[in-house]
Amino acid sequence: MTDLPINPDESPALILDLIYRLKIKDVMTKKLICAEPTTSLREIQEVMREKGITGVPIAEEKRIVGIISVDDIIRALDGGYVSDNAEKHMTKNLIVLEDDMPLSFAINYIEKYHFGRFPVLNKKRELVGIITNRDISRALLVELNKEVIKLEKKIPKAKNITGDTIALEFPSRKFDFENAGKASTEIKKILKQRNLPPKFLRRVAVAAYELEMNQVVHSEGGKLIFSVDPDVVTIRAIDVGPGIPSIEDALTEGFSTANEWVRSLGFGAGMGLPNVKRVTDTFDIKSSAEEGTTVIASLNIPKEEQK
Amino acid sequence: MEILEIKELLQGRFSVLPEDEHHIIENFIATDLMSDVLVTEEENIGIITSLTTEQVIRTADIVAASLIILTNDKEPQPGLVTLAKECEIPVLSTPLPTFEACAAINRLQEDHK
Repeated sequence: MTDLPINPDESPALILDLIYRLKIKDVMTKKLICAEPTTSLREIQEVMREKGITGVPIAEEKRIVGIISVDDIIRALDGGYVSDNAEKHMTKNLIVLEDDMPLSFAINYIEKYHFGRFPVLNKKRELVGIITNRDISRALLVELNKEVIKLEKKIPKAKNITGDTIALEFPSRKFDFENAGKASTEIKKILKQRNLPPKFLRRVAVAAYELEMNQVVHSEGGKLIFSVDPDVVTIRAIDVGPGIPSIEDALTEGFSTANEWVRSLGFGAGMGLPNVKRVTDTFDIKSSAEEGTTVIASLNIPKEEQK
Repeated sequence: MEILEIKELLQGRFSVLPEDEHHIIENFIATDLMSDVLVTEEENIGIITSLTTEQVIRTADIVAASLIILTNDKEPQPGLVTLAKECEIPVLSTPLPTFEACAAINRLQEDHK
């Protein structure tokens, strides 16, 4: 029993998107090889051998009534009853999936039940396909190929890090608290390599973190773009909505629109934007319900003082 | 006061050990809201909090804090411990409620003066 090496709790966001977006009907094998309850196990064994499969659903009309796996055949051969009909030995307590369910369900079921295959039914409870480990792996590989090609086109090339200008972009997702703060940590690491004064790094980190957290806590998703020029670090925080009703309120210390459970996670102090404004040299904010919120803040890189 | 003194004062135990138990910390901040931590401009601070999420460490890292004190006998979440080890920030858990912890530290600060 080979389980799939995908843990829905720990997989990267791209994979999670995929397994929730793909439906079982997109991935399953529709060309069904079935047998009838009166088919003998020996005949089923032949079919398995010929077609290279390890499980055969037993169906009456379009309804599944049981399943025979290769284990059943082995036991039958051992016990000398391989001429018996399928219905005498088929597994009747079936775990099935529905064709409209997201692929994540199939992956969870494989984790949970350790079967290699699951019959798939439609809304009318008719047998419409079967989904196996192999189907899932194949579908994921095809989709991942497509996504990787898309990603490679998107990534702005980070130029020579020790030299000139660099530009980096990080996405943020609504309520994704697990990954929140990583962009700020990254940018801090990169700037540290340039031997910038710790106080300056701290200001950048505070601005980046607050802007990142604002997007995670309040927006429908967005991105942070960092540009580092010889003289200035610029942070652009652009989100897709819902927009800030009152920028004046948002800039007021202690004012927060965070809900209860967000506060229980430690956010919602109402200091986000005020903190950003305090540590940056320029601060510009625009927001509307249609276009979301854009904050552009910059910090002038301190020049080395001659000692 | 030394990290070790703080541990003894608060009857604490480390979930992430300090590199140097004798490291001295003079300034503290007590809060459960992370943005309030980011307001401070001091370095080498101790953060007293009852929040057990990873964000405590991310915030602590940004302000270069030297110690996290978790009050109310809270166990840090595994994510916090992992990140704290990565960032080399020690984490001390105390059974004392936040107010008592703060009061105890403040008394010790006064004694040291």
